[in-house]
Parts: sequence; structure tokens; C-alpha cells
Amino acid sequence: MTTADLTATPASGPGRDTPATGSARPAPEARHQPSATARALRYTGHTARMTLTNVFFMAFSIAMPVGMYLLFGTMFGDQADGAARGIVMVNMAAYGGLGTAITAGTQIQEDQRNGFLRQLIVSGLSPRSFLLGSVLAASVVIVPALMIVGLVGLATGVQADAGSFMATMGVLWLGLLPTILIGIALGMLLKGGAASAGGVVVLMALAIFGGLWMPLEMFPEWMQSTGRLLPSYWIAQLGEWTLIGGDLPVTGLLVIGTWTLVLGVLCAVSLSKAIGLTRR
Amino acid sequence: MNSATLAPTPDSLSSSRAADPTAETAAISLRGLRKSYGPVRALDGVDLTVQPGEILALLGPNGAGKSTCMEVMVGLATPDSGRVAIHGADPVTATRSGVIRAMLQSGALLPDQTVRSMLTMLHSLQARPMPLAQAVEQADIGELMGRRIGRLSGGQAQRVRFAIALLGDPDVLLLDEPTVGMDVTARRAFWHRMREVAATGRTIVFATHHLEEAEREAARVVVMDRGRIVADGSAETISALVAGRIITLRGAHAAAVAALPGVEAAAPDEADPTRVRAVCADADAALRALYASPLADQVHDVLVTAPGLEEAFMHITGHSDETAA
Repeated sequence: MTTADLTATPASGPGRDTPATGSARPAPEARHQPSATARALRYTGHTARMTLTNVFFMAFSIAMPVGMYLLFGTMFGDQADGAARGIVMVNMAAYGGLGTAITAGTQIQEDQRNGFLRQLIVSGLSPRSFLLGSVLAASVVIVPALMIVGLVGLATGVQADAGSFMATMGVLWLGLLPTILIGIALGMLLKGGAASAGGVVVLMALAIFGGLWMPLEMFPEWMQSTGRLLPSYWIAQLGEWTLIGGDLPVTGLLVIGTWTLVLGVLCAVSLSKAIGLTRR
Repeated sequence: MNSATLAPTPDSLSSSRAADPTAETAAISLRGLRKSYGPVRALDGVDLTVQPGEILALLGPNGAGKSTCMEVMVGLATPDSGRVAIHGADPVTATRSGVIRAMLQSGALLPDQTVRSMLTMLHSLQARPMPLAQAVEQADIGELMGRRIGRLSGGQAQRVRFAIALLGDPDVLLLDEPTVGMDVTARRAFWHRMREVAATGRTIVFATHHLEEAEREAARVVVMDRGRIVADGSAETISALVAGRIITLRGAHAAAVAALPGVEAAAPDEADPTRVRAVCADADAALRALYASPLADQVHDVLVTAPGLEEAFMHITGHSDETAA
């Protein structure tokens, strides 16, 4: 059934005076209908813009990792002939992106879970487009935190040519995809304040066990083996690989890929549940 | 009592489940809809056909199934059984393509954003939007555009929800208790705007539990109760059905009062057994007969009142149970 033949139906309520539908209703076929992807992108654009212009949110999401980079950079930066400074930069950029990804995920989701998602669906956005739009919006929002930590790093003595710097930023950005999904999943599974609280706990766990604050080698063996199962650890390892070189951490790609896949399915499944849950 | 207007509707009797010729041409076609939320039967076999251009009121108390019915029509809820067609299409397709739009009851808005910001976004998602300025004008929210949504009053938020429903320029417009939270002036202004929107030939279905709203604004009124359609007819018929009169008096036996023309039933009042309470189809005829009869000298404290809406619903529902039995 296309929309083309809809308004062609004459107003013919049996035994009822109704205004003619033909005159005032424009022909639907003359109007171009946006695709599901176009709608998802429009939703992305709006949501990303709203978050990026949230001064408080952006200030916190950038100040925290930049501050920690400056602190740890001053403390350990000169070790290993200054290579440590680059590692600190990668770790803090990853941490900053991680924090923003999880917070943006829970926040975007929180805005919708109170029932606004229903308005979106009734406005023509499919649940799948909503999910895609949320993920894309969060991945736009994490860029400033990543880039500013990186640029501060370059300004304070991190040695990197333009190519490897951009590659590092790009790898970190891509690697953060599963952490965005973690934020969205938290937002869908937990209610209100619990989602933000859960986000903080998960962020801390991912940062510590992923060795973003302190090298994983400083921790007991069980923490190290746990850390190697987390995306946060491998995001930083991949970032170091593009910045400094060495062997490509293939395990990291597998771990990040697995997390993305599992969380993607989890989000898709809990989304349909979330629509039902948000009934009045 | 005109039993022809009672459920099951003539419409549902004449249509067979297998072949439903009306589903293709009707604006809305609901057939045998059932939906339960746990032990609660929100919809218990709803059959309804709405023709293009009709303005229909869904009247019923809270929990009658009006909201669920609308959620099913826009694909927000999936019926356990039964079929839904909106201009021949399934609800999800009709919603995506902009054929149907709904003003959801207390539908959530984005409290931190301005009205303009949120409307711009929702406008960009529409399959075939009307110009934003036109929706703003029709919902009369021009002066609210720069305001933060969280700071709007209940009535202003309802106007914004109305604008949201108009953005898609739908053929079928659903309004779920649109005047909730509005004072009398705002209510009147809202219906005035709604009539302008209706004049462009849209099919409009609105849910309400105000009988006056239903009979004033809709040509056809469908009464729902406990997930079923219990009456379906013109506004005048339903109004007469629901707005029967109650006569109470003292000084006569209930049986004698019940025998009067125009009186459907009479019984001692539960709260005050010396008082007789008579439900009338035609209170005028009953009074004329009363004062022409020997009872005229005995009765006193005669009062004529309108039944409350809850009572009216019970009245209709009780009769429909009889006809179904």
C-alpha cells in the first residue's frame, strides 16, 4: 500500500455530511518521503547539536581528562625518553572519550526513556533509526574530548607526526563504539538516577581495569587478566600501536568486535522492551 | 430506549472476519481487536470502521481502552489478536508514511529544550510535513516557540502536543484527551482551532470523558467501556442515551412510579429508602402523567436531575450486557 491512493478516496461516510477530502488534502505522491537512514541522520544531527551546546556537559567531559593528562604527564611524562608522555596522552584521550561516550549514551537514552521515544516513533522515526541515530550522535559528541586531549598532548611535548597522530585519534574514536553501546544499554536497562550512577561505576571500572589511569602491570594478576577482556584496555593498546608502532594487537580487535556485537544485539533487544516499558 | 444503537454495532454484525470490503476504503478499520496487559483486558473485541472525513469521539471512563485503542492505531501497541488497517495499510506503515498522527495523552516532551528546537527536530522526521509555520499557527503556539518546554503550563504543553500531531499533515488525526489540563477558556479556544483543522477534511478521532465535548465536537460518538464498544451512534442519539433524566420523589410506591409512561425503572433510593428514584427515557412525559394521575396529590419533593456520567456509563453498559446475554 503506497500513500498515493489514500486521499483519492472520496469523503463518503454513509449518511453523513463530511467536507470533501480531495480539495484541501495535497496529493501525497507529490511529496518526497525521507528514507529511514535520512531520518536517523536528522535525529543524529539534532541530538548531537543539543549535547555539544550543553556547556556544562562538554566542559566536564573535556576538563577531566585534560587535567589528568597534565597531572600524569608531569609525573611520568619524561620516563622512557619521553615516550611515556605519548602513552599518557593516548590513555587520557581514551579515558575522556570513554567518559563522554558512556555519559552521552545514558543521557541520550534517559531523555527518551521517559516516553519521548514514543513521540519520535509516532513522528515516523523507526526504533532502529532511533538506535542508529543515538549511536551516531554519541560518536560525534566524543570527538571534542578526544581531540582536545590529543592537541594538548602535542602542545606539551608529545612527539608524533600528523599522520600517526590522526591515525591514533581515528583508532581511539572507532574503538570507543562498544563503550557508546554500554552507555545506551545502561540507559535502557536502568532507571533515571540509577543509569547515571551505573554509568560512573562502569566508567571507573573500565578505566582502572583497562589500565588507563595506571599501567595494568602494576596490578595483581587477576586484575590484569580481567583487564585484557575489556574494550578499554585494547582501545589504549591500539592507540599506542598507531602512535608508537609495534605489532598490531589482533586480540584487541577481536575483543572490541565481540563487545560491539554482543552490546549491539543487547541494545536492539532491550529497545523493543523499552518501548513497551514506557507506556504511560 | 433505542436498542438499535447498542453494541454489538450493526457494523460489526454485518462484517465477516474473513472478507472485509470496508478495510480498503475506510480511514480506520479495526476488527476483533484484543489486547491484555497481564490480567487487565485493555481491549476485549473492538470492531470499528471510520470513514474518511469523519469526526468521531471515543467516549468512556478511565480504563475503558481508549488510549490502548489509539496506541494500536499508530503501532505503539501490538494487539494480541485482530486486525488494524489505516487507509488500508498496517499501523506501522501508516505512521512512517505520515498517513496517521496522534496527540498522545501526556506524551513526553524534552523539558530542557525550547519548543522551537524540539519542533524543528520532530518536523525533520516527518514523511510529508506541513510547513512548520502552519502547524505553529494552527496550534496557536507562536508566542511559546522560544520558551523552554519544562516551563510551560499544562495547557500550553497540550497545545505543543497538538502542534506535534499536526506536523505530519496527517489524513487521520488521533487526539487522546486533548483538553486535559486546560481551563474552560483554553478548552474553548482549543476546540475552535480543532474545528479549523477538521475543516480541511481530515479524519479525526478524539478520546474524552466529557460528554459535552463529545456531543458538541463530533458527528459520531462511540462509547467504550472495559475494552468494548458499548454504543455507537450520532451525537444526538448517544446524548439522549446517556443524558436520560432521573426523577426522585417522596410519597409514592416505586411500583406505581415505574408504571408511569416514560419511566424505565423505579426503585427506593439506596441512601434514603423513603425516596423513590426513577430512571426516565422521557422525563417530561413522566411528569405530565404523574400530575395527571391520582398520585398527583400524594407526591412531594419532586426533583428532576441529570445522571452523572459514571451512572450514564453504567446505564449503557448494563443494557448492553442484557442485549448480549
